[in-house]
Amino acid sequence: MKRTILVATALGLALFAAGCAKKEVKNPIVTARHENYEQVKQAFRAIGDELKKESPSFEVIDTNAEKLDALAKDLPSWFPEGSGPETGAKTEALPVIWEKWPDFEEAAGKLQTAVGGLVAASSAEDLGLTGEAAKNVGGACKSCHDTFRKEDD
Amino acid sequence: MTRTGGPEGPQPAGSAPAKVRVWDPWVRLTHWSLVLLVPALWLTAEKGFLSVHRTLGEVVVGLLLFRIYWGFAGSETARFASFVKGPGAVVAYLKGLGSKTAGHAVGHNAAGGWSILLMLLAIGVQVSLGLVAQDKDGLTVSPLTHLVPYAASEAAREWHERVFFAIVAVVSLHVAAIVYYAFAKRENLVRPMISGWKLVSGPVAPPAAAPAWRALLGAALAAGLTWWVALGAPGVPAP
Repeated sequence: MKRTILVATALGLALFAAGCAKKEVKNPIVTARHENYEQVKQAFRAIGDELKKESPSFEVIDTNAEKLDALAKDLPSWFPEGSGPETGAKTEALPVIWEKWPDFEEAAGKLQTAVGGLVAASSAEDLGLTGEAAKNVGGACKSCHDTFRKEDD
Repeated sequence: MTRTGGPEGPQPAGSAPAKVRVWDPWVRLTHWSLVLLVPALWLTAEKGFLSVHRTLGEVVVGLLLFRIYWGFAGSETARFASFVKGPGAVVAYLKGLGSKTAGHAVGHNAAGGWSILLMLLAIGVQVSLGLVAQDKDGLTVSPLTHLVPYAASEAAREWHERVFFAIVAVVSLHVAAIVYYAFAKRENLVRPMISGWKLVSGPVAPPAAAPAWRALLGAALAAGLTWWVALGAPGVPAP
């Protein structure tokens, strides 16, 4: 009797574990991409927070703008061929990224240009220009998402 | 149409129905504004019109602040002290719910008062979360996002999505009660919320209405506070 219960419990646990494991497919490229975008988001938010302060620190903005700059330059490399929905992992990357790769690269280029403007404005310590440049960066993010990312989650 | 705000003379006991003004214009305005705003907020969130969503949410903040003020300084039926009853009254009310006769309550009934409080609470939690949330791209931020850490804004967005279902639940209960009253008890609760007037059986003392200046004062206070919040609460230092 005791043994039956033990076996049944073990079996149940094994099935449960299998069920849990099956739920989510992990893909290292997709995971790394998500983490990179998380970095983008954090840097962008840090700049936005700083710009809302009464006397924003250009040091903080600069640091984060530089981070964004490096990330934006790397961005196309986060999307190697075959890292889309076909991986089975949870991703909002649309196949159109690879179908229209030159367009995607162009969109990434626009982001790089916008971030370049932000770095320049913040190095020049021009508050008005920095605010404007940050808006441009947000616009570049959004326009790319509109085309290349699956809507909703 | 004669406005019979109260019994002008002695009325025959328990006979002729009296017409009383149960809801003042401010309660009705707040109520119907929310009826329009809640679905509009849902739609703008679903469709990704986040800046419109944010603006409409700020309007809800103002309405809620006004309604809380009105719960203390408003007309009799609007005051929390008049409609938030103890458990005994709620149980007694629920026991009588099965009867097919109209309740003819002047103002909220004992259970309805609690549902109002629940709705205000749910909406209060919802706007508080909304005020510090950020969208999933971190591109649209709320008026007070910069005052909380990044992780708090992320959590606020997730909870903001969940609390919406709590609002749907309490609003559904509210609407279900109105439908029940309409069909089982043959009492129309919607019309009084539109016109303010309700036919009530028997002699009733009309509920006291607060003067307009007090409503305008509350509206000004709520609008001022909301404006300050919408500007990002200037003067409050970011951590």
